[in-house]
Amino acid sequence: MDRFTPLPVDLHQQYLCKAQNDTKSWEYFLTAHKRISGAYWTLTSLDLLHALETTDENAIISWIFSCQHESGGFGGNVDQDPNLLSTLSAVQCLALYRRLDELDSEKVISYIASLQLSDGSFMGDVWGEVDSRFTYAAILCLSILKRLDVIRVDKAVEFVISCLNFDGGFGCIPGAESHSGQVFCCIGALYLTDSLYRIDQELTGWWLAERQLKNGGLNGRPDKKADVCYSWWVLSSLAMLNKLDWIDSSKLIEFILHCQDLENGGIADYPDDRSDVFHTFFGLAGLSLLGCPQLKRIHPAYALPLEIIS
Amino acid sequence: MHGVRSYAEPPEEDSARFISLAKEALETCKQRDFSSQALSLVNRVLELNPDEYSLWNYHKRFVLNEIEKIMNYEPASFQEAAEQLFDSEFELTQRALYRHPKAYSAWQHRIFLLKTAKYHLPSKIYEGYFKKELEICAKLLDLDDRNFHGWAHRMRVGDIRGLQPSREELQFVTERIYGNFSNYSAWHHRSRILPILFKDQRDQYYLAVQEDLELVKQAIFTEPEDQSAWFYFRWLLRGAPSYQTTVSVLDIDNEILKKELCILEELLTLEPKCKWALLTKFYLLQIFGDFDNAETVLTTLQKLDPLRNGYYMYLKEKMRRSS
Repeated sequence: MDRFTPLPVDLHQQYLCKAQNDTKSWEYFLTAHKRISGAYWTLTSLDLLHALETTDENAIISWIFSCQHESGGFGGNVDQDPNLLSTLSAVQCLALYRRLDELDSEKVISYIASLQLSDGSFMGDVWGEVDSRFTYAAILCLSILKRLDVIRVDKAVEFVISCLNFDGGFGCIPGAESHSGQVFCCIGALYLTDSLYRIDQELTGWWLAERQLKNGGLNGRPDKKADVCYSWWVLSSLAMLNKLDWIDSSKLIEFILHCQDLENGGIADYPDDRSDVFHTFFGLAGLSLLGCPQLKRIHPAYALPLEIIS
Repeated sequence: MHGVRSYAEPPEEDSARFISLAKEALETCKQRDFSSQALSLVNRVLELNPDEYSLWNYHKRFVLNEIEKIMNYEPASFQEAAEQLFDSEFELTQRALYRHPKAYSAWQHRIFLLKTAKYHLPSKIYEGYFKKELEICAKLLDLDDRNFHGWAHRMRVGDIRGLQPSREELQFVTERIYGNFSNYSAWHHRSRILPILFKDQRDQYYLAVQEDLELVKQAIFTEPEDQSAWFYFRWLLRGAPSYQTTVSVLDIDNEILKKELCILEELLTLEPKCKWALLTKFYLLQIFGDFDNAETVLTTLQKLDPLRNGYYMYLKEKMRRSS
């Protein structure tokens, strides 16, 4: 228990609320096109901190619906084109507020199903980019909506398996280099479809365990620097494979805590860097997976608080 | 932001101006306004932020719209107009990528352009684009040899052309490995290319694997603590799983494995605390059924590499159960 404390819960909450209302900064300019994912990171973080009720729920919900298009898909913000990743973020936000019943889910699921190609892969939007991230987004979205029946799950799984590499990791398309972010997506997709038995879990687990560096942090690929976002992507993959004990969690907790900004709140990618909501979410999610008593527990595949997944 | 300590942030009034500029650009997209004025507004925002994916989508619609317009031209003028169109689109993404080499949407826009060019233009023109594309990838990999966007783009370009990995591609990868033994990306692509290249040539594959064991040897003696070559080494020793069609060393010759064990012993004399040599030695000892020594190696590893103590405990337990 001691290894987590003290987590400045109020400070992080203040940071997140401030970031949520920022619409004037340079950072806002650079991230405005994916504001809906920003909302998901912020709101999930606040929920993990037991502070979701401090947000302006109705205003946020009506803004989310204003990002939805005729096709059923959501854009990253008002006036942004629809895509799968933004659609997932929208659905996750609605799930957090337990307001999925207000969603025209038939439209959303038909949008998602329309993006599956004959080889089982998913396009990110109508323009045709294929990436294993989109497979995870589609499968997770449909799992939340309990409508996996509308896609060819067997083919989707075949595509994920075709992204498996020599080292047990996964890439963005068949043959692309293993990357922890993609490993998370592929393991997540296999987990949600009860297909983890298809891979050599020991090999994948070993590659993931080798992501931990001497400073306790995790990296995304061999010979890369540690980064807090992998405290989620690598860690949740290990959790889905039931191998959390293959790395040193105390050292990882230490690393994440070092990345906190103890003056202004929030968590950065690396100690002494500037915090942002993206890394704040991944840091808190990692701490939650490791059992931090001040946080709600998060589900490794759904990336939502456990209590939401019933 | 990744790796950002304190960046030179423009003053707030500039941020506000850019935010309203982006808003204006998105409004333009909604109106399907393809005037040169609209284009230059959109391009201005894209240069500031190449992640603005909807603006790239606008460009895609613009390209399709232009092609439809020039479709009925005489062949020569069609070609001229099309080249002008594609050149300026490629240039726009190139400018974005040199400044932001990890902008997904900018890479993806180039893929769209290549596919569209292949569909609409005569082969001598689009072949030129493909050739240039590989050169640009190589240049970007010179700047950052681990940029996975650059590597994946090379593969995507090959796919659009309908090409299988070639000996030239293997050569490209080999040069990258010799340039930097820690280039895990290059080792990865080697593991991808070899099985396809020698798919139906068992003897040649066998020779290639032996050459690779030599290559690995050079790498691990040069950079014994670097994991790149060690992961590749393990793959060569393990033989590929069913999802990769290949021949494993295990299938070929147990003598090779014994020779590799000797090489590891040699390295361990020089670097007795080399974790990776010990881990690989453990793997081979286990194959030879030498469980006592394998267990001793694991105990050493637990001390040398305490971060992964849990993993080594798992291996010990598993070995005890199977022996």
